[in-house]
Amino acid sequence: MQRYIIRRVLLNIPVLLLVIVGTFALIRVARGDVITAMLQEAEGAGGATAMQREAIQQLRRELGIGDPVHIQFVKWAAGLVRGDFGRSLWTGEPTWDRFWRAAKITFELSFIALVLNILIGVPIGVLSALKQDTLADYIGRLIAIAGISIPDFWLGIMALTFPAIWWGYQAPIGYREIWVDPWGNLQQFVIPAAILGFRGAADDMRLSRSQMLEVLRQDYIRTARAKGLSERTVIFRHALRNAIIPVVTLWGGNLARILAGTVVIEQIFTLPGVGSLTLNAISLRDYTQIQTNVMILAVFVVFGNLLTDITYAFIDPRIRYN
Amino acid sequence: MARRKQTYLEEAYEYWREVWRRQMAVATRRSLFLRGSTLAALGGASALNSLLAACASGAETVQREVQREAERGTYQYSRYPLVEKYNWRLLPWGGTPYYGGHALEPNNDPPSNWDFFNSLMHSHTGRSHQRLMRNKYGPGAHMERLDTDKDFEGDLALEARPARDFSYWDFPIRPGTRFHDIPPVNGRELTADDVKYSFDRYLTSLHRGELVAYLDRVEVLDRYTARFHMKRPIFWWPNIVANPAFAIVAPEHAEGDRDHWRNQPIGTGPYVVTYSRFRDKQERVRHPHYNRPDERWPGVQLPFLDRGTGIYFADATARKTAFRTGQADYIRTNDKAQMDDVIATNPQTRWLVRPVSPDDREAFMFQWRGTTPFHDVRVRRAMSLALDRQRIIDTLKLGAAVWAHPIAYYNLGYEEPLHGKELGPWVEYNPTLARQLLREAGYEQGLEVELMVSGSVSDLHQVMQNMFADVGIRLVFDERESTEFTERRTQGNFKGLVRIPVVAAMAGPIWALNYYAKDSPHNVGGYSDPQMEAMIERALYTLDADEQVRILRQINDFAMDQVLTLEVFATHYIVGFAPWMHNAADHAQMSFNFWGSWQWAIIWLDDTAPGGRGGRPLQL
Repeated sequence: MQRYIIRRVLLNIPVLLLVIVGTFALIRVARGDVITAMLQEAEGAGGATAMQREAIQQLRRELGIGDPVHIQFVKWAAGLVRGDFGRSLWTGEPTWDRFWRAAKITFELSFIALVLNILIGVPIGVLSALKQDTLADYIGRLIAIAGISIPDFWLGIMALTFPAIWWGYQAPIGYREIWVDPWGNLQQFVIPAAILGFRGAADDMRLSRSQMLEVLRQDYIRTARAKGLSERTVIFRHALRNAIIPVVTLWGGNLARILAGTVVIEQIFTLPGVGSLTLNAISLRDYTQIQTNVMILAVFVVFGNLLTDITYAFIDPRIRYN
Repeated sequence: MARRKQTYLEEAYEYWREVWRRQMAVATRRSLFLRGSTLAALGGASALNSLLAACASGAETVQREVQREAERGTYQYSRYPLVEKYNWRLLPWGGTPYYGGHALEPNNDPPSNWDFFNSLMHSHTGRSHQRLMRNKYGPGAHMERLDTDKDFEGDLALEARPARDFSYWDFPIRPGTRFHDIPPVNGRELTADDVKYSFDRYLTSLHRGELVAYLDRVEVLDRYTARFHMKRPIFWWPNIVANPAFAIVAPEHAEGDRDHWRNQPIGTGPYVVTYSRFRDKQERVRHPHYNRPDERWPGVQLPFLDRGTGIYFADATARKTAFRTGQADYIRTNDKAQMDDVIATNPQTRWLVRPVSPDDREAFMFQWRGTTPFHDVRVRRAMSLALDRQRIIDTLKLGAAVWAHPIAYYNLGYEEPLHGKELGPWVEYNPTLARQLLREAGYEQGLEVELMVSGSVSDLHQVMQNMFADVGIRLVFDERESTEFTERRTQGNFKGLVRIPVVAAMAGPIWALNYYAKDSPHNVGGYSDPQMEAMIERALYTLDADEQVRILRQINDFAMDQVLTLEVFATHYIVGFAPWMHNAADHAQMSFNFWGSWQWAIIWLDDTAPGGRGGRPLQL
C-alpha cells in the first residue's frame, strides 16, 4: 500500500509541472498584456491614458513583464520554491492572500450548494420512485428535466429580477462575513447556492429515482416485505441504503461542476469569490494571479484524485498495483 | 447654428429671474432686474448662490411650475426631447439639508491600487482627495458647461492668480487643511511643499503626461503659496489642475511603505477610505476636519453624509436590481430601454438626461498609413453620406443620442451638440451623392473596407454594413478579443477603420490634440496634417479665451468637412436618482464631476432613505 501511495504521488508531480508550465505559457500566448488591459480599463473608466511608447516599456519593466518569457518563468518558479506566489500585477497584493480571501467565499458557496443539492435531489428522487406514475412523480421528473435544461446564468438573472419587481427584495449587497452578520450572509448565499445546486440536484433526482426503482424490484425487498417489516423499514433500511451508493459517487462530480458554476454565479450575485477573481484576472491579464489560482486549484484537483485513488484502493484491494 | 452660449451670469440670472418672479408673485419692473443683474455680476457666483439659498424654501413650488411648463412645451430648454423632459434644472436642488446618513453607490468600485503616479486615478480621487481647483457644481452652478476661464473655483487653493503674461500661476493654499488621520501622515496640515512634491511626481508620471507638459517647475513661495512656472504660457492652466487626476498627496506617504501607499489612500478630501478592494467594494467615512466650507451652507461642517459604500457590480442586472430595491442610490445607463425598465417599477425615480459630449461616442478612425483609399477625401465623404444617422439613433438608441462631432459642444461655445446641417454638408444622409463621389474617386465597382471590432459585431456595425452596402461599400469585420483589440489599436495595427479610443478631456484643445496631433498616442490611424497641427498649436497657446473658441470651431469644422474621423452618434447620458437623494446631478464632464467627484461633500440623503440610511434634518 505504501509503495502504491508513493507511486501515485510521484506520478502526480509531472502533472503539476505540466500545469505550471502550461498555465504560464498559455496565458502569454493570448494577445495583449497587463498594460493593454490597463489601457482598456482606463478607457472604460472614461478616459484612455496617453501613455507614450517609452512609458509603456518603463511600466513593463517595473511590473517584471519586460523580461524574456523564460527569465520570467525562472523568477516565478524560484519564488514558488520559496513559497512566494508573487504579487498581483494590478493591485500589488500577494496573490496567495487574494486567493484565500476569495476562496473562503467560494468554499462556503460550494458547500451550501452541495448540501442543497443533496437535500433537494435525493428526497424528490426517492419520492418520485415510490409514487411512480402519479402526479408527484410527474412533478418530480419535470423538476429534474428543468434542472438539467435551464442554464445557471438565466436562473440567476431571474432570481435577481423577479423578487425585486414583485416584492422589492434583494439579498444584501456587498459580501457579509458569516461571523459578522450571519443572517446577511445566509441571505446572500442561499439563492445562488440553490441555483448552483439545482443542476446537481436534478441529476441526483434522476439517478436516485432510477436506482430506487431498480432496488425496489429486487428479491430481497420482496423478502423484507414478506417478513412483515414496516414499509418505512423496507424503504430506509433496505432499499435506500443500496440505491444511494451510485448517487454518492455522483456528488464528487457535482462538486466539480458547482466549483465551475461559481464563475458565473459569483459575477451575477456580486460575490467576490475565486470564480470572479479568476475571471477578472484573465480579462485583466493579471498573469501572476492567474498562475496562482490555476496552480492551487490544480493541486486541489490532483490531491482530490489522489485521495479518491487511495480510498478506492482501501475499499477494493483488487485495484491496488502489485 | 446652435445658440451662442450665454455667460454663466447671464444664464443664471435669466433662470433665477423667472424663479424670483414666480416666488414673489409680483410684477417686478425691468429696471429692478437690471439692477439685480448688475449686483449679481458684481457679487459673482456667491451672490447668486445666496439668492438661491433664500429661495430654497419655495424651490419645490417653482419646480412644479417649471415641470408643468416643460410638460406643456412652453419651457424650452433643449431641442432634444429627452433632454428637455429630464434636464438638470428639474432636479430637487437645495432645500432643507440632512446631516448624517449612509450612501450606497453602484458605480464607485475602488481602483486596483492608489498609486497616483502610476495609475489613472481621475475617477477615483474626488471623494478622498482634493486638487488645487475644482469645477463649480450644484445649486447656482451651470452644469452643462466647462468654460476654461469661468467655471472653476478653488478647492485646496483659495484662488488661481496668473502672472500678467501667464508665465506663472500662483495658488495660495487654504490654511488649516488637514490630511486624514492615518499613519504616517497622522492628520498633519497640508502645505505648499506637498503641492510641489505632488506635481514634481506628476511631471514624471506615466499617465496624463500630455496635460502637465506645459509645466516647467513648481516653486514654494511660502508655507501656503505654490508658484507654477510654465514652459510656455497657457491661460487655461486652472482647468488642468482641476483634473482629479492631479490630487495632492503627502510625500511621507508616497515615499513610505509601498504596500501602504498602494492600498491606503490618505488625502484631505471629504471622506476617509477605510476599506478598498479592487473589484469588490470601497467603504469610507466622514473626514472630521474637511476644510472646504461651502458658502451655500454657511457654518456647516461638510460633508453631509457620514458614510459611503461603493460596490462593484460585474453584472448589469444586479446593479439594476440593487437600485430597484433601494440598495443603491442612483443608477447610470446609456440605454433608454434600461431607463424605461426602471421607470416601470420605480416611477418615483428622478431622471437626468444629458447629451453626451465626445468623450463617449461612436466614431471611427481611418487608417492613414500606407496606400489606403482614405487619402481621397471623396471616399471619406461618401462613407459619411452613406450613414443615415437619425435612423440609426431612432432605431438603435430609441432616440437617446445626438449626432457626433469631435470637439465638445461646450468647448465650442454652444449650449448643445451640433446637429444636421450645422455639421456641414457631408453628414446628412445622401446615398445618391455618396455613390457619385465614389464614382468620381474611381470606385465604380465599389470598394471593400475592413472594420476591426472589439469582441463581436454589434447592431451598429451591422446597420453600418447595410447602409454602406447601399452605396457600394462592402464593410467586412475583423473581430478581435477585447484586450487584443486594444493592443492592436494602440499600435495602429488595423487595416481600414477602428472605433476611436475614448478620451476624457476637460479643455477644448485637448480633444484636438488627442485625436489629430501627429504624435498623439490616441491618433491611432496616424493622421498628420500641418494645417491641423498649426490650428492645434494656436488653440493651445492663445491667451484669449474667445479666440480659443474660434479656433476650436475651425478645427471642428475642418474635421467635419474633411471627414477626418467617421462620426456617427453620441449616446445620451442617463442617470436616475432615488427620491431620497438630493443635490446630485451630472456634469458636462461626468467622469470628473459626478462619479469621481468632490460633490459627494454636498450630497445628502433625506430621512425617507430605506434601512435608516438617511440623515436627520439640519436647521441652518
